[in-house]
Amino acid sequence: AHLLDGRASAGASVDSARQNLAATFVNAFVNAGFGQDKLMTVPSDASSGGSSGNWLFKNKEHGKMSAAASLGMILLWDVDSGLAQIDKYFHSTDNHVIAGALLGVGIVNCGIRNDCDPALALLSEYVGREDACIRIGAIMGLGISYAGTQNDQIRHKLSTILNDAKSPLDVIAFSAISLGLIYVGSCNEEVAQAIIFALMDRSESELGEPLTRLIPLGLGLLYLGKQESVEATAEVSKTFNEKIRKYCDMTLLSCAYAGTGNVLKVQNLLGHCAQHHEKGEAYQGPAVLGIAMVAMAEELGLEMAIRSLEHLLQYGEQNIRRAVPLALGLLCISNPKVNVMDTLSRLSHDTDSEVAMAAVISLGLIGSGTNNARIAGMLRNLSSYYYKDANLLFCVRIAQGLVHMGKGLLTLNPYHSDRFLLSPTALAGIVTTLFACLDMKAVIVGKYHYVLYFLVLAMQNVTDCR
Amino acid sequence: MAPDPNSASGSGTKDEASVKVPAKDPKKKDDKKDEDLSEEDLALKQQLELYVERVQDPDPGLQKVALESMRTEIRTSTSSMTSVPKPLKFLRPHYGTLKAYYETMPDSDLKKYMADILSVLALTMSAEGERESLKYRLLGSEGDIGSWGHEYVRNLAGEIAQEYAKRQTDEASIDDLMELVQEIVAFHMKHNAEPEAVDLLMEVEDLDLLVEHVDATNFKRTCLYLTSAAKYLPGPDDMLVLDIAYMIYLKFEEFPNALQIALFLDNMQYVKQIFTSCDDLLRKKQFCYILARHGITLELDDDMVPDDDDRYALQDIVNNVKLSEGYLTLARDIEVMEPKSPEDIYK
Repeated sequence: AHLLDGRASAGASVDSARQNLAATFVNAFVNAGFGQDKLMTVPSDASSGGSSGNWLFKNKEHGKMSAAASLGMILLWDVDSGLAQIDKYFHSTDNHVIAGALLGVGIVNCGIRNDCDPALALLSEYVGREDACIRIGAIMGLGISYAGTQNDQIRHKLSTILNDAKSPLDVIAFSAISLGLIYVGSCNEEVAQAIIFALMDRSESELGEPLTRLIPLGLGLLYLGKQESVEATAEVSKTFNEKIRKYCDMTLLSCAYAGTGNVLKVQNLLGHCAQHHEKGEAYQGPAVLGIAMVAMAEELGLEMAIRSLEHLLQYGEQNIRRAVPLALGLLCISNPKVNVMDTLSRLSHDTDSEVAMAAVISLGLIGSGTNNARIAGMLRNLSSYYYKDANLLFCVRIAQGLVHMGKGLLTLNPYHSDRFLLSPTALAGIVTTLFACLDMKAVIVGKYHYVLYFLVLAMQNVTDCR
Repeated sequence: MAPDPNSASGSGTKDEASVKVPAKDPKKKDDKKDEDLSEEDLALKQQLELYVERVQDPDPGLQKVALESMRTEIRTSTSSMTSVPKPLKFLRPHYGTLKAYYETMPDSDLKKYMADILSVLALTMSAEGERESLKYRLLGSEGDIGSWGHEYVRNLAGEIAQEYAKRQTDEASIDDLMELVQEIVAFHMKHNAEPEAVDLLMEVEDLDLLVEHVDATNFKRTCLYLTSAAKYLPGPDDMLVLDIAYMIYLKFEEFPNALQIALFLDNMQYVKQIFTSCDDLLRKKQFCYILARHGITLELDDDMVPDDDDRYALQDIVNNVKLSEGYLTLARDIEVMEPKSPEDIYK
């Protein structure tokens, strides 16, 4: 109840916009695929365009993008209905709404193949527009709906953007990611070249931006699980600017050996994490995630990795400690192990707020789609504990949405068939979200929160091909 | 593992209940041996000692009888090993003698029989790393390898692995070893010891031989072992092992399992091969569901699915066209269609 009383301070409207954004995500995750909810698909009254936009306009600015896109998640996999209902947003004058609609179209089509390529038809013309938000919406939508298809047409469009000097940084970052998703595990040289050039063309100051770090990830996704095939590209990455070089190395290594269980690489990554720097170095974030990505292949390695990660918490610096909860989240995704639950619970009270935020989100990840009562209880307590902290409260809400994802009918587990097969597109979606979470403040609780929608790539009916 | 060997004889035979001090402590035993043995044991011991003498007799007739008797004694006791069988126990002190005598024997069938016996004795009596059991086996008569018991075969397999490694470094021929390997693999596969057969073949780097030894009764366990072991093997063995498993599954028409391996190996040729090898439409539908779950984009062509209508239907499955329908049907069955609001979740 204390959440509902309006705070009289000047931050009140920001806070409630932030709360509404959280509710938007919760609503999207929980009702994913059902085609009906209480916020976005309520029948419109009267004529005005955007009346089911009543909820939409309770969000501000970029929040509207996530809100519009949430309709895509609610209508997940129902292409006909989805496109029909999202269509009205294309007539909006608000760029954020259009951007969200584009993203929503991509989400609806996620995993569905159609000879008519409705997503491509709708989204491609927006990719070259003026407004950065709209471009990102379209680009991300394409990446999600065409993940794994190796679509040439899209490749041309996105490569052009990558190598256009006038493209803004965030547009480039999302293009790299989308290309990585579309060509996941293909080792495609042309795409690799395009992304490499994009990295090389970035200025010093740009290399320090949080979103820039997604560009090496786009490159890495091309080699997801392909082991030695990454070597040639890894050689090239050694020539990059030193600000991004090691980050790129770690990302490529982690992606290339993801899902292989390769012990030597895990040890290599642990070695990198053992290096001591003042505040830890940025590259150690991907290294920590890499440990999880590589070791998740089989049960024993997974258990050992969990233990190693907990050791890292004791000795590691900032960047490492922020990544550990995320790595734990990956290892136990949709699989709430009690010991990991307890570790994350402890970390959710960490003095470093980025660590706490990562831990909270990871609690959501490990419980995703499980309706786990224990985690739900922990999150409820956290919501009271953090009622004054807008960022942390936001994370708690997201986590709650994840735990009740699809009302228990969905899972984020990328493994299937007796945990023998790993779906590359699913893993790519999870990994992208995690890499984005390495910088919670700038991305998740910043203005790029919609990267959470990358998780849709991993959403599967929990009864399918277990 | 018990710290006190004297109390470890609980699992021994009923006979040993009368023998307070079991065979685990030979030095101490030697003095007490004669007094503590039961009458039967004493008789056996003396009988064996007689055989040992007779074997060294210049008369080949006597030798033969002695050898055969010794052989029979050992055979009847070595089929399973919970503790060292008595004949082996009693022959222990004579091992050296017999070995020395062997060296003096002229080449003959008898020598081969002797080698057989020495091979079995070496099981418990040769020094670590000497690989004497193997050495004498190669010199002995070829006979049914299993007739000496499981433990013998297992031990031999272990020695072959060591010998193989040594021969690799020496770049010597391994043909004689490979013959033995074939026999051992055949033996293991017939006796439900597939993992051991696979292990041996991996040691001698010749897994291809496995395919001829699998039959309808043991291929499932074999493939299960192969796919589980693949996770723990360094490359390129991990891929090799899975390839063999794939071929075996294909041979026995276990298509869904073969498909899983094909997807694991990310080998589209294999995937196509499975479609073309299988005629059953229902099974093909199953493949399509697996492919859809995996998130794979695949165009089915006429080789894979000859009939046009079937192909469209199957392509729809791969493309997840009805995913939403299935999901909503499930939701209705479980009665969770009712939309939930964030407030419902927060409390």
